[in-house]
Amino acid sequence: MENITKDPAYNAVDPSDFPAMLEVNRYGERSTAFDKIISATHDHFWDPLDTKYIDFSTPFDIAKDYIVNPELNGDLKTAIGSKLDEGQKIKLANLDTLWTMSSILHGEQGALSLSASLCHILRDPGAQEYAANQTREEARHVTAFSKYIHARWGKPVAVGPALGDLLKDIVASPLVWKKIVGMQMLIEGLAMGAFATLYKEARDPLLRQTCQLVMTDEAFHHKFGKIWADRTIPKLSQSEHELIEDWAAQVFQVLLFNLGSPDQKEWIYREVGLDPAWCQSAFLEAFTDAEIRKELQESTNIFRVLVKTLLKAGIITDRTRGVYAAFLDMHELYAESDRMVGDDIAEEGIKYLIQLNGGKFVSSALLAAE
Amino acid sequence: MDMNLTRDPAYDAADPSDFPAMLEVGRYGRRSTAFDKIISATHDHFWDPLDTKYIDFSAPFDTENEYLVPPRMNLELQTAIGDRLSEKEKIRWVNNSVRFSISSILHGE
Repeated sequence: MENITKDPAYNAVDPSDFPAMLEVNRYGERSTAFDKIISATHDHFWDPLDTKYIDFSTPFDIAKDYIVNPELNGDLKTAIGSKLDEGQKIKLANLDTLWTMSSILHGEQGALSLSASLCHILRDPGAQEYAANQTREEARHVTAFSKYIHARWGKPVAVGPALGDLLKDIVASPLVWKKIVGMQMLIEGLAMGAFATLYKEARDPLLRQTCQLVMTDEAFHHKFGKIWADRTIPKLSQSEHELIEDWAAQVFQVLLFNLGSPDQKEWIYREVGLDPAWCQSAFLEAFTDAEIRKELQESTNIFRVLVKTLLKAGIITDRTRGVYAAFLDMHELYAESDRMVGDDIAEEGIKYLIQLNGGKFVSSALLAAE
Repeated sequence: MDMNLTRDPAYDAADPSDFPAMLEVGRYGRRSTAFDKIISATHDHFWDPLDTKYIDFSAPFDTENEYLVPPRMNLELQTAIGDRLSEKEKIRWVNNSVRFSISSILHGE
């Protein structure tokens, strides 16, 4: 399979071919496409180990308070909720949040490893510097989410097989398109949707702050994916487009059906004294109720950024539109502007960081990076 | 034999192809503090080679007529080679030697 490179900024070499990086003409063949994103890193610098930016010792009683608004919890909308007292409901909802935060942490680790792997294959010095810079930013996300999880639960839970397999696939892949569509568009898109929801719905101020700080970086990473799409998708042959479109749809389905699936959360049901098999049937039963189904489908809102990114990039065509249309209003998404749901939150965070870092806010940093 | 010669847990390593090892849950909590101050200091010594506020690569220098480094630092010019060259050739020789050094530094970077 090929890299499907349509713009020289994404030229790549084999991961084991380091000598190709020492080819003398390469140093001068630098794309300027990522310079503004690279230069902006200083403005939105933050340090998860410096209490000037965030203090992970901020207390929160996870035994008594919901970390995230319980109205967002799918399990509590079903018969599972009616079997639990308030204390058990809080426990279940907060363990569900542990599951989400652990998945996010593993995703950040995947982003760190994947960005580092891009440094080994991208030939363009500008693209390579961008990837190195993203690696550094992903590393602080791993630190931040590790610290948050440690503060609330002690340690994360194991990655689910669906997410674990996807991360393994895209980190190990030598293909630029698979790395960029997989991480920058699908996983970063999903993460931006999840962070925006957590920022809006979390009751733990520390979680809201963590998400906003991470979003100040992720918004730029998402832009990198958009630049790739703008320079690649319109130039694809039909077979290349179908290859990318089909893979994206397949990954979307894997993520959608597995991340919130009751069969990946058996340990949570056991923790609150419920039989996982019964919980799974209660969950399926709930889907037969139109109202509950509608409410459960609203939880797929975190997929909006991901799907909107693919749609606006031109990756989704009528061939796979139905895969997404079952869960999201595609006409509504297409009619929306290019602004993403998390952009305003990230912008506000960047303004705050510029001020904290002693800089001067001149204009929209996110727009300037385009 | 541990070929990595690891004597401190901060330098524990996994096989380059073993990404799943990075997802092991206990690993996230085993973070050495040895490098925290270096990492935190990056913001203080930030600079951007593309921003003329920090460095301006359009600053002129006449490499045909001026030595980039003092010629006394050039070994060849201390030998009979130097006797065979005119001043202009010496400048060219020295500046090409500098180019070789800087290129080696670039490849090293």
